[in-house]
Amino acid sequence: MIKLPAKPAIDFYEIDSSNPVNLPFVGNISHGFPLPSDDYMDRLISLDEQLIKHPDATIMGRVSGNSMRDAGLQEGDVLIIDRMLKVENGEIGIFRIDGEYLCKRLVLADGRVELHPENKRFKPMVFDENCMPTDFMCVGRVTYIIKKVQKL
Amino acid sequence: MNTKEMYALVDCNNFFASCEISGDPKLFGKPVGVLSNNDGNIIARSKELKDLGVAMGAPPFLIKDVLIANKVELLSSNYELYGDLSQRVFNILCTFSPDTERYSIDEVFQKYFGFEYFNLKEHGTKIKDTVYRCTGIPVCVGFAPTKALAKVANRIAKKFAQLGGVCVIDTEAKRDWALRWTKVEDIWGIGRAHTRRLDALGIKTAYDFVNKLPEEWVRKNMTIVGLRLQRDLSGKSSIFFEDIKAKKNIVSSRSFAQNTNDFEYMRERAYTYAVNAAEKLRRDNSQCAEITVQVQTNYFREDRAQDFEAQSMKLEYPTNSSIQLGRAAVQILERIYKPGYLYKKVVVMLHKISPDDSRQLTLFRNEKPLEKHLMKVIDQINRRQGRHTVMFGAQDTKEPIKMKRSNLSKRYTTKWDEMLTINCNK
Repeated sequence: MIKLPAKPAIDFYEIDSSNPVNLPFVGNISHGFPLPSDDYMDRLISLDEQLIKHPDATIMGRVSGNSMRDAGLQEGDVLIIDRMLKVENGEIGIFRIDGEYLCKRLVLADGRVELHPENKRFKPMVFDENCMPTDFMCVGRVTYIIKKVQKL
Repeated sequence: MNTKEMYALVDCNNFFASCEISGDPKLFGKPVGVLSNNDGNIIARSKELKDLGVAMGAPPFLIKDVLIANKVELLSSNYELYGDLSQRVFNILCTFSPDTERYSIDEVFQKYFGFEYFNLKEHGTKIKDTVYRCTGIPVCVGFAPTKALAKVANRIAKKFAQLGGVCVIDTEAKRDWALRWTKVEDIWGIGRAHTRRLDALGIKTAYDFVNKLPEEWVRKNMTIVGLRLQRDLSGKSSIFFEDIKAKKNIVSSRSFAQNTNDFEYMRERAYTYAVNAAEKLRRDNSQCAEITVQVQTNYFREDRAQDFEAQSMKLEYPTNSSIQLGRAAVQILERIYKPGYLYKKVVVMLHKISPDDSRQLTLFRNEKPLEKHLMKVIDQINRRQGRHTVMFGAQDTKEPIKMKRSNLSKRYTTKWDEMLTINCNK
C-alpha cells in the first residue's frame, strides 16, 4: 500500500465560487453519439444580469399605494431602481421629497419641473423657481417592475 | 513637487449615519446617531447631531435631555447595511483608478499615477458626485503626492465647505499651508502619548513636525513608522499600502447586556471574541503572535469596586486558528478574573500581526495542519450559509441573536423583506 504524504506535494488552489456562473448540463461525454445540440450550448439566462446593469448602484423598492397604477405599478410590486441613470424627461423615477421616496413620471416644461402620477385621482406636483420643496433629490430611474401574478 | 504620482484618500462623511439616512429619507437633515453594539454609546453622528455638540462615544442615558429636546433619532448598528454600502462605494471607486485599496470600512486609498494631464479637482468632483448619486453616501476626496498628505488634504476638504468636498495639494505653497494648518494631534497615526511629548518640545503643527525635528530624533523616538510619516508629510512618498495594513491590531469586544460576575458567561464571551478576531485575521490572510485579554468594570459606577486588569500571552507560533486563539483567551481570562467584581466588558486583542505566508519556523512545534483546513472549511460554510452557521462548542449558540439592537433600521440592500418602501399615495 502506498502511504500518501501528510502534505500534498502539489499546491491546490481554490476556485473562487463566490459568484456562481450557471452552466447547463452538457450531454454525456464518455460514450455513445454526442448530442448534436451540444454545439449550440449556451449559458443560462441570468435575471440579475439582464435586469441589473449597474449592481453597485441598484436598489429595490416596494410599491405602496396606487398613484402610478396606469403605468402598471401596483401595490406590492417590486421596482428595480438604477441610481447610476439620470431620470430624463418622460421617464419614471424615484424622487426624495420632504422625507419620502416618491415614484413619479418626470415632465419638464417651460422651466417647470412636474412630477406626474399615473392615476386620474391624483394631481401632478409642479415645482418652479417660486415653489420648490425644502428637500428634493432625484434618486434614480425605475428600470423594471417585478410583479407577482395573482389569482382572481 | 512631483505631481505625476498622486494619491487620493476618499473618506465617507459620517459613514454609519449616512448609511442610515440613505435607507430612510425621513432622516435627511435631522440629527441622527448610531449606537454601538448592545446600544451602548453613540459611535456615529450626522452633521446635524455634531452641530448639537453631542460628543463621539457619548452614552445616551447621560445626555437624555439634549436627545429628547432635539428629537434626535438613535439607531442600533446595522452592520449588514454598512458592510454592503461600504462594498458598493469601493466598487464604484474602482472604476476611477486602476489602483484602489480599502483602508477601513469608510476610507479608500487610490493611486493616480500617470494622471498628470487630468484635472484632479474635476476628477475628484466626478468621484464625489458619482458615489453620492449611486449610493447616497457623501464623500470627501483629498489628492496629494503622498498618502499622509492625501489624508491631510481630505481633512481640509471636510473642514472647508467652499472646496466642494475636494482638495488637491499639488504645489509647495499648498503643502506648506496645509502642514501649518494641521495640528500635531490630528496627524495620521500620532497618538496621545506622542502628542504630549511633541507638545513639550514646542512641536504644535505638522509643519513643526516636518521642519523642526531632525530625522535621527524621529527615528530614535518614534521608530521607523514615525520617520516614514515625517518623510511622507515632507512630500517624499514613504508609506505604502502594506505598511499601513500590517501594523494594525485587531480588537474584538462588546459590552455585556448586563454587568456580571458570572465566569461561565464571561468565558463564553472571551472565546467568542477570540473566534471573531481570528475570523478577521483569516479574512486579511494574516496571523498573530500575541493575544491580550482585558476585563473591565463599569467606570460610570463610581460606587462599585473597579477592575481593569489585562494580561498578554505570547503564542507558541503565529496562528489564525479560532481554536488556538479561543483557548488562549480563556486561559488568560482564568488568570485575571476575580469573583468580587461586576464586569461590564471583556476585550480580546490580537497583536504582532503578520501576513500568513511569512510564518516563522519553529523547530519542535508547528501548527496542526488539520486546523488550517478546518478553519478554511468553516469560513466557507459561514460565508455561504450565513455567519454563525458553524460555531464552536465553547460558544453559546443562542448568543448571536441576543445582541440588543432595539432600534435596527431596514437592511434594505441585503434582505428581500426589508427593502425600501416607495410611496405611491401622492
